[in-house]
Amino acid sequence: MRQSFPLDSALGVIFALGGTAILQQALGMQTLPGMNVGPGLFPSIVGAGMAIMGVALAIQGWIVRDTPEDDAPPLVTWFATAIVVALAATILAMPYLGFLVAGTLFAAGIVLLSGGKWPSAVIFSPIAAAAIYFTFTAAMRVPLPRGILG
Amino acid sequence: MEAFALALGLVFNFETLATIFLAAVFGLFVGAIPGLTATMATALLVPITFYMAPIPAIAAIISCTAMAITAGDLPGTLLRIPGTPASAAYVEDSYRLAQNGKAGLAIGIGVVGSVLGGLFGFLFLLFTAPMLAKAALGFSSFEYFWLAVLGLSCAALISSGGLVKGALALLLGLFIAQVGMDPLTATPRFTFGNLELMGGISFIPIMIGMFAVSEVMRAGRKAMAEVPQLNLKNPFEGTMGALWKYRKNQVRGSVIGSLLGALPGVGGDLAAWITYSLAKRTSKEPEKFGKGHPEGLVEAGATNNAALSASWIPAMVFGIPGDAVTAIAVGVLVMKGLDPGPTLMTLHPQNFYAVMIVFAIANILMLPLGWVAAKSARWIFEVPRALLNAAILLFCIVGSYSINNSMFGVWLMLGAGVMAYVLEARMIAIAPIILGIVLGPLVETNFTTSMLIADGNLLGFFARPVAAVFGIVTLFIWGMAIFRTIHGLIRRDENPRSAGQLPS
Repeated sequence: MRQSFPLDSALGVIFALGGTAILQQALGMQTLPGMNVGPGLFPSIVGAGMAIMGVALAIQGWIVRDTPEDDAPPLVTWFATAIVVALAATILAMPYLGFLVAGTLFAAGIVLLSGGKWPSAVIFSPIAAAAIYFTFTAAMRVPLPRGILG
Repeated sequence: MEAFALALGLVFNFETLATIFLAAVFGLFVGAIPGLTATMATALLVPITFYMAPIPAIAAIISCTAMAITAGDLPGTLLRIPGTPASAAYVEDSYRLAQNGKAGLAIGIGVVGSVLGGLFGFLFLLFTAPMLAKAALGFSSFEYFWLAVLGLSCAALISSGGLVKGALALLLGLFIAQVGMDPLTATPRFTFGNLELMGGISFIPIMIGMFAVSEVMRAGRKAMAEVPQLNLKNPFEGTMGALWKYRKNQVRGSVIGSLLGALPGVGGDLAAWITYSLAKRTSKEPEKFGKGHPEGLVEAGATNNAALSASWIPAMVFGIPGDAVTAIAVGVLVMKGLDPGPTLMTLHPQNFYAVMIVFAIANILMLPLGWVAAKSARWIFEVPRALLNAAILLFCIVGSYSINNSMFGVWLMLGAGVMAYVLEARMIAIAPIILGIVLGPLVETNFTTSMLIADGNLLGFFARPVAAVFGIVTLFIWGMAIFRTIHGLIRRDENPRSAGQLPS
């Protein structure tokens, strides 16, 4: 079954638009007086290249469609989405809860998401979070957020 | 000689030796786990090297990578899941050997052959690098510009998705490198008034996101080992006999691996495939290949590690890495103030020799550690995926946070992870992005300097003989790649499957 709009073409359009935006920003940068180069020169080459290659990918994706047997597993899986949501939630919560609490909750969540059982999540998560916390704070002097335990 | 004595002092101290050992054990563990790669092991290690002295830091990267790549042979042999693209070349033979009750021989050839190939590559590096460095001292911004573009071009064009996707990956990396202050005038670019972006985007959280987070997202909940496992009684059984019998393959694999590995962008992956097919073509028993025959295993295994050592030549001599791992290493060297390039060998030869000694130690250490890994393979394979996922992601968060002690790095890591997950699903390779980020400032600085010297005349880029050769070779490679891509698309109707994706 053919897709109505190939994913490669969609990606090509995104790259082409991104490249155009980079080019437009770069062309707006001032060159140095009396010099033939400026801060915008190299970015404008990269932006133009990205726009051209983006168009090329869009065309190539249109010509060379994925055949059904080439179909990879679905791009958006519930597991991948859950990992992204868990990471984003942890980044937002960590300054308030601290690494030990947020890290433990995060690790427990990932163990359960990955098909682990409750007992292993409850035992493993605090140990992993504490081991990483003390390794980085004590041995490497990284000031990880202490949050509510601070 | 004085430099060599100093180098011995830099390596033979407790900190460096302990680092080499621990990094090797870590690399061995990660490499032996099916689905986790050597690049991921290196990416996770970098935040820790941030807090080390320069030589232990680079020693950690070298020994971790070498060990992870060798350990990648274990899941290939015992489970038929190749640990690296290079070991995919001979996985069928090693797996069949294991099925025939010769798992010890297959693993032994992998480990001992890798050690010999790695040591050969090390000698090649030791003798050629100083000579090349002397030549490189005469290079100006024109030569460096073309050399960097040549390296980047090879990496992009050889990558799995073909010309267009490789070029897009490279351009994306070059763009990421431009965020922050412009190197010439310190004008802020693409920062949108964000103070964190003013300092530029560090390659470390990007690399952690692209190699570790995206891998966890992709591997999902897959069980570690779904195929029956073998018990390994005597690792390395009969290895020396097989290596002696196929000594010609061992030598040829090492030589070709060293030569191909030194080319930027080629690395061990392609070299192992080339020598495996060469061994098959020149063998007296080609019909046995793929059915548990050690000949191809010996040659491709030797090639793999010889190329790995030789791939450090462009990185050390010119500061221009050819693959993701050496790009990470160059990033670490720059971070540590050891600017890779010809001056590393002329101004600070002790550092260069210290790196060489680390190479030798890391390769020799593979023998005992490889034996232990083979014995404990069953145990390593059975570490629950759920716990591994949690530990890897916790480590990713802390590693990205520790670069600037801010959550901004962790957001960058998450963004890069999602981006790599989407791009890799569409066969857009990640290595050119990392190379673009690491080499971006070097390419841009040399480009603008050359433009100033040539007064904006692009023909000036071809005015010096060496620069002209590099420039013409680069343009020729691009011309050929563009021609082949367009030709492939036109001929597609005759053979619809050939031009679909352009895998390496």
